[in-house]
Amino acid sequence: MRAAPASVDALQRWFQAAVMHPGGAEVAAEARAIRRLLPARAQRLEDLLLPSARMNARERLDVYASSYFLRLRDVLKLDFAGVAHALGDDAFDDLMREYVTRRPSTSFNLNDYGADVPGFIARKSRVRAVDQRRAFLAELATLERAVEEVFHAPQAAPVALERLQSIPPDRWTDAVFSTIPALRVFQFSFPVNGYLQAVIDKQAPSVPPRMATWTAVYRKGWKPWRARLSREQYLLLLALMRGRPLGAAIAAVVRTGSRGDSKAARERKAEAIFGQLGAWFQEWTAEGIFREIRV
Amino acid sequence: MAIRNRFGFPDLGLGLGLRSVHYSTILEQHPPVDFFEILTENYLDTEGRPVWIVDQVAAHYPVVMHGVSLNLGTADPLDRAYLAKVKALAERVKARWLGDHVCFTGVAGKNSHDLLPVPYDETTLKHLVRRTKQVQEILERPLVLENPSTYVTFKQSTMHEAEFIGRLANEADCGLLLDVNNIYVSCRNHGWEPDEYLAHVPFDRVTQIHIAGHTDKGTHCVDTHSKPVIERVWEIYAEAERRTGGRSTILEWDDDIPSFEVTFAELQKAAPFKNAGKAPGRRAPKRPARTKVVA
Repeated sequence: MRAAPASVDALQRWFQAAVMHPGGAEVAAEARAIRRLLPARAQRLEDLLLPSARMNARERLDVYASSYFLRLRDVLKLDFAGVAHALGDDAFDDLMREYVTRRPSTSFNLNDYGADVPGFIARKSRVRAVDQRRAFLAELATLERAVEEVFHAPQAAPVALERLQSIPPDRWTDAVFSTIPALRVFQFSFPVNGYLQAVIDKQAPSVPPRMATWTAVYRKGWKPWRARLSREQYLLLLALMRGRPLGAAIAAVVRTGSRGDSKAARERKAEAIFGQLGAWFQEWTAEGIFREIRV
Repeated sequence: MAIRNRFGFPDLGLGLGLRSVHYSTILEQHPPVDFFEILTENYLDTEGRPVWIVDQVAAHYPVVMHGVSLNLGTADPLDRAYLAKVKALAERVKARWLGDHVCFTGVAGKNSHDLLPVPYDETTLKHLVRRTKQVQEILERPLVLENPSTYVTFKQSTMHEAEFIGRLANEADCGLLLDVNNIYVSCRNHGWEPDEYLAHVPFDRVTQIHIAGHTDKGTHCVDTHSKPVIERVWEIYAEAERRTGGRSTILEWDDDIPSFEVTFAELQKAAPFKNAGKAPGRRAPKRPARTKVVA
């Protein structure tokens, strides 16, 4: 007599858990957590799946199980080529297996699957090779993730250079510069942008020592770009992205890290920034990072 | 004798699955491809270059949509947010039709990003018929569902895959995307005969055909879309074309993708079968004697 069929839900929960098990189908078949999900009074995997002429039931299930991890790893390797280089194939696979196991995808959108990788590296991963260079890898992953984000970010028409040039000199400090959605700025404690470029250029770079760096990631046309920033440029863009008028943004740049400076020192700093503003804004406008200038 | 397509969908001719490595050739040279099939999810949740690309392609070519994340067979509730995005994309690219697979891709909120199999029994059929009808109501158009390549056999299955899919199409009143490579792959993996498979197919439901290559692992075949179409698959295609009188045909190539020229040349191998299917009284080109497909 045929046993009652498993419900759609119970059978799928068991099948999915077995496919997603990090040990593959053979290990999953014996794993207590997976066996507990066996539906319809099944005692073992073979009560649910049949062999073929050339493969037993476990081998057949493993066609799905083995490709599950490889597929997601390959997607993440494209998104995090720098991290993959820094770790090497085996350690990267360990990291990805850990990530795929602990953070299964919950969206149809694979572009977002790597969104948690930087935080996972920073706070969760127990892979030994990650632990040895955690801060560097987390920053590198943050940069790589930003490239993916700006690639898919909403498109916004940038303002033309003429719009910048039309601002009366006496209104500059009141001007509010809205940036495009496809812009991110970062302060890093490692030179991760240079490292990533060296990976892309196939220069096989080594993990660099600590060094403060500042980077913008933005999309020009349809292509993501990474640009080195000075500390002042980073702070200024950050303040502008927070909606501050230019005058207030410059004041914020001058204040940052200036505790204990004399008033004269601060004024010199402000003057130095003012002296470079024209060139900075010409370049940034030409790169298309502003979508609106309100005066 | 040609069988009219139940929904009146036209035979769009010979098309290609749109792949990013071919974007520049397609946009710059507008090669004489009859139509393109886009992978639905590649153009959802992005406002970057992919959307710009698909708009350009849709401006020059007829487009059909093929999804991998509808998750039709899941026990989870329908993802209405996903369906809304699919519907919006279909309107944006003026999709001639849209479809997905007879499978589930995840349950309990997780996504395997794989086309996981369902048992071919009455319970699952009823479930899929109900869901297909719901999706068609939401999308306000018939779905075109593809026979998947499968690697396991559920003990609780009570009918042949082709019978299951045929009944699903008839009872849910949807179209079929007949993947002739998947027929070959599944026949190899399950010990079926392609002729037996085709005997169950309601050809008036067939809207589109897929051709592709696969990887023969010896013990089983995997639907990798990484190689040219093999002879036996061309034979199955020829038979499908003969029985339908000609259906829109897409060549899929997803891994180790060759140049556009090579891909296009592979697609052109379908032309003699297509013409043979369309011209009354003409016979399909002679192919080598059939080989028995065994598991």
